[in-house]
Amino acid sequence: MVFTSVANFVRSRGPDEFWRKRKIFKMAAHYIGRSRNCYSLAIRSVHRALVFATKGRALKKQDLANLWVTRITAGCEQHDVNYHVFRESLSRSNIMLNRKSLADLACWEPFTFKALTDIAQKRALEEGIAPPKGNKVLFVPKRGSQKKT
Amino acid sequence: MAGALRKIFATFARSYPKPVAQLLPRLYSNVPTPYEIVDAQEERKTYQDVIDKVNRQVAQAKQGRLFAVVHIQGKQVKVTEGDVFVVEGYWPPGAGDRISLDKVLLVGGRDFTLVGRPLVQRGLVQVEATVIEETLSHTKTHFKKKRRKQYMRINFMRVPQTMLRVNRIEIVGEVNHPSDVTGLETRVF
Amino acid sequence: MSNSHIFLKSGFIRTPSQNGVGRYVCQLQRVVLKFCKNNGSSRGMREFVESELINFAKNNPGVVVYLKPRRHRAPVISAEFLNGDKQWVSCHNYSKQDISKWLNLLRTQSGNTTGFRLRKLQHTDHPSIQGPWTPYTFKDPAENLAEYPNTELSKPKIQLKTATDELLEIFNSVQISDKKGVE
Repeated sequence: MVFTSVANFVRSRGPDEFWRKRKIFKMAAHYIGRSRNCYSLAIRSVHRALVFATKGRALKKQDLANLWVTRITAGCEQHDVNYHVFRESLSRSNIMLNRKSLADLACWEPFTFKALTDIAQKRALEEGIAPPKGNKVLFVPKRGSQKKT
Repeated sequence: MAGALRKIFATFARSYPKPVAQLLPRLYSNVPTPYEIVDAQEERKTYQDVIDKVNRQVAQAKQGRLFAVVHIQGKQVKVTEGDVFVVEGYWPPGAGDRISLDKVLLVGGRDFTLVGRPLVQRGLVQVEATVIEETLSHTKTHFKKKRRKQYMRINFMRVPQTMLRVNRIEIVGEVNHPSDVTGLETRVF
Repeated sequence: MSNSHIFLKSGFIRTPSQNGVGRYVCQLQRVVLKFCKNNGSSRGMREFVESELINFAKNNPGVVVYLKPRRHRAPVISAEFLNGDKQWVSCHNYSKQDISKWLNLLRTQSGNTTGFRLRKLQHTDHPSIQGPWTPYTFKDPAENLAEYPNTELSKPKIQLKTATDELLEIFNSVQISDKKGVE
């Protein structure tokens, strides 16, 4: 057997290539099409997925905060209090419940939440806390059938 | 002069319907300031009645299941007896420890709520929990990439998680009758 | 259409047999320490076995500790839990402090939770005590008996002052001031 120069053309890219790529394929196993079998496509998809996952963790916190604000606003507008007036009045009364707790109470313990809106309304009347200027959300007056406390 | 002030008030009334006008900052106008006649005696009697009702219900053990909003590790959790929640991050108490959660912001039941300002009084409510598990979270991958700039950073993190089971929430003291000596709940003599 | 559940398993908090309601039960059943008697990667493990293992076994009488010296094999801690889960921790080149930490972690775990994402950090069987909010919670029951068409209930929710009303108001106020002026 004589191998003169043919052997030079066979170059190994490295002994670890299989495991280096396997790390990526493991993460891409649930992708559709060539992205789960071809390395060049898989690595692009995997990188994007990891970046989205990282960014999503911060976005999730923002989204939940917005959801809580929406729920609290819905809860207090039912009792004729503006969200900002509500938060300011509670803060001045030294009640330090955060938006998560307030939203939980609004959904699951509606009568406790009503008690908090009552506290806030009293405080707002005493101290003259007003809704912020330029507040485009229109105030909803009560229907004749509901009783005013 | 009066006509101009009336005009100002009319423009305000246009943008804010009547009920909200009460909440506006007091204007210097010839509109009489809304006021409420408060009879201190009657008010005191009303709130004392409410407090007595609550105390009576608690004394007869008819308050039912209670919930509490507890402040722990910088976060607030709404808990009842028997439920499990997770505390993330470095937290000293170990598995099997029985802990009393002292920072209670709100306690409530079917018929009443005790709102703390900001915390409910120390000897009034007792919230106890047991640490049932201490693990690490799943591996979170922190991956940064700037495209076409050869910049990629990857970091892995696992956050310690402690699971707590709430064992009891009870109103031990009497509302508006704090004990004469306070601050001795954690003392060991 | 998403298959990401294959990649990262997720679920809610699970507590084996209501642990903690009565008393706390350690969920680790047995622990097997495999190591080599010569190889350098097992050095920390060997040191741990010589110094701290007996204390660990004494402090946790409910955990069965097995030692398996196996030549030319990497050091490993294999843990089995009461719910049948198995967890395998490689201790290659770990120091004895590292091994002690991992063993403590296994002791406080209730199963193999590596790669398990908790969807919520709370579990309740009684989310609501006063009854969850429904659109009817704060509605007057008299609305149930209302007969439709109903002028009162069919009024628009938001009724601002009409231009006519404002003009009338201004007219009346001007009239009053005129009268006062005359007087």
